[in-house]
Amino acid sequence: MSGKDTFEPRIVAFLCNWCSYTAADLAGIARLKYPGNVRIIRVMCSGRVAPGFILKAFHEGADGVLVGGCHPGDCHYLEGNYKTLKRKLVMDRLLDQFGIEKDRFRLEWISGAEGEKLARVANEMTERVRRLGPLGRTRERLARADALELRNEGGAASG
Amino acid sequence: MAGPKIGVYLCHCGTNIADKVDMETVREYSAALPDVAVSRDYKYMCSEPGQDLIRADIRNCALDRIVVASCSPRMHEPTFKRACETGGLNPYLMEMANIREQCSWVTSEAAAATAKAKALVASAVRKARLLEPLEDKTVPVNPTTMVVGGGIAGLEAALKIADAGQKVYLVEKEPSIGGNMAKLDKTFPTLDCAACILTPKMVAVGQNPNITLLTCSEVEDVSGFVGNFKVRVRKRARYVDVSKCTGCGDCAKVCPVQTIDSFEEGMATRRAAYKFFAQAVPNVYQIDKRGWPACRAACPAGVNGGGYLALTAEGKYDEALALIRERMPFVGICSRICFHPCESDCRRQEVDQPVAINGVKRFLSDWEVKNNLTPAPPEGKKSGKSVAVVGSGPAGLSAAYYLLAMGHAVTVFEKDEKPGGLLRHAIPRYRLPEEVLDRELERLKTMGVKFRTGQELGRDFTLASLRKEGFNSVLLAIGAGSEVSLDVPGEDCPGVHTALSFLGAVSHGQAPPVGTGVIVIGGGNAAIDAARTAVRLGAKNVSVVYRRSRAEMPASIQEIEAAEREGVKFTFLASPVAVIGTGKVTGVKFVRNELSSDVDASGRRRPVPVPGSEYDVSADTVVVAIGQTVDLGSFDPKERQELAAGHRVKAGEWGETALKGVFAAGDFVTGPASFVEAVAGGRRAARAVDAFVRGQALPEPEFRMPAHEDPLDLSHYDASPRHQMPELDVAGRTRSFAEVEKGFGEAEARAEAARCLHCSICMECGECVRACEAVAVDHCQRDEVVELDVGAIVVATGYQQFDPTAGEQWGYGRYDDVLTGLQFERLSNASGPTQGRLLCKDGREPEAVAVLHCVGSRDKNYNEYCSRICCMTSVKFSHLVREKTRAKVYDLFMDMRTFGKQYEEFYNRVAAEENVYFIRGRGAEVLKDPKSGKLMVRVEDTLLGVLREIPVDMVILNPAMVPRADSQRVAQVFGIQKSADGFFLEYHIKLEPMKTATDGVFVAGTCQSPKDIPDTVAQGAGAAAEAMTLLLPGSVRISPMTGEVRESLCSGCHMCVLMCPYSAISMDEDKALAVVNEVLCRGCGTCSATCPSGAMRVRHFDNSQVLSQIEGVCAE
Amino acid sequence: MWMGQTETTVLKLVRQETLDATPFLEELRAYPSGHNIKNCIQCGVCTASCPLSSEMTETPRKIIEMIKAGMRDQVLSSDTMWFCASCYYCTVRCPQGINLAEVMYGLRTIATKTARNLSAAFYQTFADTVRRYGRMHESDLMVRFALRTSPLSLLKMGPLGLRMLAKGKMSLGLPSAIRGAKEIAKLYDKVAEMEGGV
Repeated sequence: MSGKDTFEPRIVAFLCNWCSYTAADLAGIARLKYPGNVRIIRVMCSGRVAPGFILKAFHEGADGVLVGGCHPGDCHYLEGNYKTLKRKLVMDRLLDQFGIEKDRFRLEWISGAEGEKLARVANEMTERVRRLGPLGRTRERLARADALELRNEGGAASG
Repeated sequence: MAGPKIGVYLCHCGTNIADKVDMETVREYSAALPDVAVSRDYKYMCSEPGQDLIRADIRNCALDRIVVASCSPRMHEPTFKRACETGGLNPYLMEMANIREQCSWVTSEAAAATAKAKALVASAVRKARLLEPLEDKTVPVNPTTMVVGGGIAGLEAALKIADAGQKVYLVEKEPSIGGNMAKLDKTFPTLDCAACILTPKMVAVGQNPNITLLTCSEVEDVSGFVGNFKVRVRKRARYVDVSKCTGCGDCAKVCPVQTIDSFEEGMATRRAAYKFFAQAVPNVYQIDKRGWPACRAACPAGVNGGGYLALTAEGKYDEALALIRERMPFVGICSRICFHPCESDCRRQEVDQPVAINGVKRFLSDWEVKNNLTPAPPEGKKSGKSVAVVGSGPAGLSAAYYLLAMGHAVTVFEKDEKPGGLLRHAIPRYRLPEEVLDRELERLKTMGVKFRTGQELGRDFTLASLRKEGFNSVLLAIGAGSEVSLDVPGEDCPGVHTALSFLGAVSHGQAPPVGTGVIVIGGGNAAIDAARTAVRLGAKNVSVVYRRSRAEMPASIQEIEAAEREGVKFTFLASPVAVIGTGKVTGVKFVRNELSSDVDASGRRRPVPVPGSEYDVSADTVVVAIGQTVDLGSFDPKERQELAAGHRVKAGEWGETALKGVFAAGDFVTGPASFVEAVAGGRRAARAVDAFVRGQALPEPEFRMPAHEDPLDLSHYDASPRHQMPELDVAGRTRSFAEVEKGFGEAEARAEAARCLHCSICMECGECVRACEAVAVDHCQRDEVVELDVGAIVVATGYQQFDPTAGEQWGYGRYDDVLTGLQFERLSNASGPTQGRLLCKDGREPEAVAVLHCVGSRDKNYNEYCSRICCMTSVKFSHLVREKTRAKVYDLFMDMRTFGKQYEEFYNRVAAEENVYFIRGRGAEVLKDPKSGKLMVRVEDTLLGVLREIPVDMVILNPAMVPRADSQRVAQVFGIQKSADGFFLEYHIKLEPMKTATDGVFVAGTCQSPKDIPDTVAQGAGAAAEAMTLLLPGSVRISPMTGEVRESLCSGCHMCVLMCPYSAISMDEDKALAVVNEVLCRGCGTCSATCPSGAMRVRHFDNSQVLSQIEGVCAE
Repeated sequence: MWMGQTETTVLKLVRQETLDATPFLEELRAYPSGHNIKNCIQCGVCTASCPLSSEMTETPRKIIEMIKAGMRDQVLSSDTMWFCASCYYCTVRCPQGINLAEVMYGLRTIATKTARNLSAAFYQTFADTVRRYGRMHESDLMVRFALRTSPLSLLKMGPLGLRMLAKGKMSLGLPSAIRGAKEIAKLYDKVAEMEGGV
């Protein structure tokens, strides 16, 4: 997906069904614009996002990962977003050890009414990751890391 | 094995998708993806022909997976699932790609949109490959609905459901249903009176057998899921038994407390005992009690200060005295010597100074004496038991009084010739005249208490002899009579006295000669008593020396100040080192102190002597008043061992000692303490003795409410200083022991009592209890918390008005006669504060009125939205002003939004009325013309292009409807989201205005958005239909997208159990494996994300599926 | 006295072809707060809050409407923006969040640069005088203003000028120099640089 002159980052966004995914729909209804670099995957709750998903995204070529959840106190499943936050803090340290820059992984609280915020975050993040450049060599390093081989061929680690 | 056969369907959505995304490119791309058997595009996939395409292909091409790339699944997932189902394919084998809301609508350039669409389709195809067929579960539902909120929306919903034969709980926070509509006068466009159309519905709800009405109630918690909710409701105490109350109103007539009436929008007052409004349903009264008043909570004896102040202010002195005597039998003594902690906590000091609660009590005592009234003795059935009380100080006398009231025979033993203890022999006469004490003792004797004076425990009788005499129990109240000595050389020199012995001698008429110079050592009330007594005995130089500073002095401030006025000097930070004199005292050697930074057991800084700072003071008399301890000399060694540890008596909370049948109270237990604490202790021990002699267990702790500490609205109180207690002239009074305080006169006492803020609103004065013939008042009621099971919930909690105080340009709260819409409704209402007459605050009829639209709405500074009803309301107000007065009306509007049925016709009728002027301009400012005193409204007449300043007598603001103050908490309790404007978020703003994101929870009325009554009623009925649609089938389909444990991979670490917010996972102890309760599981997936071995999966969102989606979105 | 026509500008029929709002709006967009003028709902709160609106020929609200209608010449020749006292009430109270005070500054700047407006010319001359001498000099101001706009007006101002001279309010010679005259000039240069092309 890299363009000739400008680098087009690929950003995978995991959005929770009740809040951030709804906000993304709302952004669409309001015809707000954000770059096509942001590709959305729907999960029921931000708490569904396992650390492995984030690593898989980077592994598959994403230059940035965004996770959207409900505001604290408003999670449709009561506490999922708190767990997401805890995982993010650990993931930050892990990614740091891989040499992956902090700005490439972002967690945002976006309520179902905040279409504007979703669009704004998408725009900002695209720009930031664009400035950071492609994951490149980090990606190769990841590919070589055995522990991260999360392919879909059954076996102990899949599912 | 053949792979899956996937059909991909791309929707143009007219031009919504097709104008950005190159449909042919994406179609070709999808056709080339592995396992895709069919790839089609069509203009409107959601239409019947579109769905037919899918069905036909399932049949003809043996498709077993479907991918639809179209709008958001939140829009049409059910549509396409049904299409698959009716086509013969399991609906969970369908995946959608959102290429409209999240692609074509948000991407500026076609190339980028097309690339993104390809990626999203690739992602959906990969997931579809891994989907598995799932079956919805059905779960039975509870057929009952809960409606939260008793306004017109809630009433409508409740009635519709109940009339359909289903059961409803209607929960309303206020004491009556009716909501904001009950406050209105006339409603537009018909000008029906609001009460006339509302009350029939209220009555119908009250009488419908299918509706259980819970008023004064609030929902605290909701758990469970659709069809099976558990709701915890708090039914607040009304302090009135609803089943007995007849609504007669006798309680309100006698209630002495007035507070602001919120139903009248702050324009009138109501009593603490009140009915919410005249047509309330249920038609009962309730009592607004927020806790105990601060004074009562502070009093160690629990005397109801606020209660007797309220009664005194109304002239009900008998009732006030009876109320006091429930906890304090000795009104005359208490009002003279108590250190009144009630006054220290009195919340009147938040305005100016605390109320002279004790002084008012003094008036009551004086009044009783002056009128020769004998208070009625307390009645108690004779128990046949007898109790010996040893010691006739405050604790003993109090115990005797209450024991007698409980029906026992009481004999009080006193070692002195006359009873009274320290009341007679320590408290000086100028504070407590002897006749006051004797009067109380006479009364006790008349009641039946027997006194045996000149009888000392240990010398004349013992515990054993009392037992032999036949007493069923003994109460020891012998005080703390042993005085602490200074422990300095010369202390035994003649002329050195201890406080109690000095004061005791004076009380017996045997005052020792004091000479000219008297030094009193100590800082408590005993020291002050000794000093002021010395002054009256003729000493010229009396000084009190205290080892710490003034701030730490334990004596009461009143006493210290009175002593200073009488010429007593105070020296601080000095301690005696030796008494100087041979044969008689000539002086005292002192050393100066500093206060160290560390703190001793009493919490005060320790005094440390400064070396080398000794100095001498000459004196003829020294009184040592540094404290007392308990004297255990009256007991034999065995008794002493049981009773005490060292110098402290071991007594339980009720005064019970280790000796059976022997109780203790007063200073004997606590060490030196105050009069009121001793009386309280005596009463508490009396209750324990009563239980003991009847062979019962110790009593239950008495019901106490916490003090009401919330902030008070003090804006209605003008400062009025506290009445000062009249005293004898300082110059003359030191020549005798005549009583210094003279007491309030009647007018002063009533005025002082009227300063009470009624900080807890109801003060429990007892008037309502006495007035209620139905015996319906119950002040001991508590809140009741119930758990209710329901299947569906309708939230109809309504709105509140924007508070125009937020913008000073409107002058609300600053100028009289600037009103909000609801305030004007109350003014205009025939049952309102002016009986429907439109009057300015000073009583005149207005000559000109301005009505302003859009106050706090259509304004980015406050609320951006339009509040929908204000234009019609303004037109209605203009009409009402014309109907009731001859005033000119100026209606200042930006736009005229009279959109509904017959609204425009109404506007035209009013526009044609004489002296109604519609000016197109937004009222910007309300000022006051200092010359004319009239209000001045500034507005630009935009159609003329000129500025206008309009003088008026009344300004009516139409404030926006805003979400209620507690809407954040309510939203969280019910799992409702809020839209950007703060109102509750509906599921779809056009198509699903009553559903919310939480299945089974619906919204109706103004809590969802501002609307008028017709729309509110429609939504209420609609919400009822939603609830019944859900519940009538008897069961509901639950999503199968739940957790599942793959046992072979589960290691039993039970991390998932800890993670689940619904406690849906448990451990099978035998197999040491996790087990998911699929009914409780809501499918959030947190467990799966946590599971370290991948044993826990979530159907339809399992790891392999999501990981494949990631591969898909990154593929392009 | 006969009642005649008033002196206000009377607009009769406005042909749509003569109005194109876009260029003027673009011009204003270059100034801070010129971006949301189209949001104005013509409520009139600005006029009613303005302490000087009754002195203006067109009220502030009307000016905004005229901008939206593209009536550039009429806007720039009105006296509204010159009466603005910068009290900011309009800005604080505008329900659409339009910063009218800034719009007025923008209009003044445009008028000064592009329009043949007496008020603009007066402001410009004033500024030039202060730049030249570091202080105000009334006779310099009046002479230059008259020369700039209408030299014959000097004759009309003659009597006023003599009375001012007599009372010592004006002097004919050059003003005394101030310290820091160079700094004043530097201030002007810096502002011009900051304004850039605007």
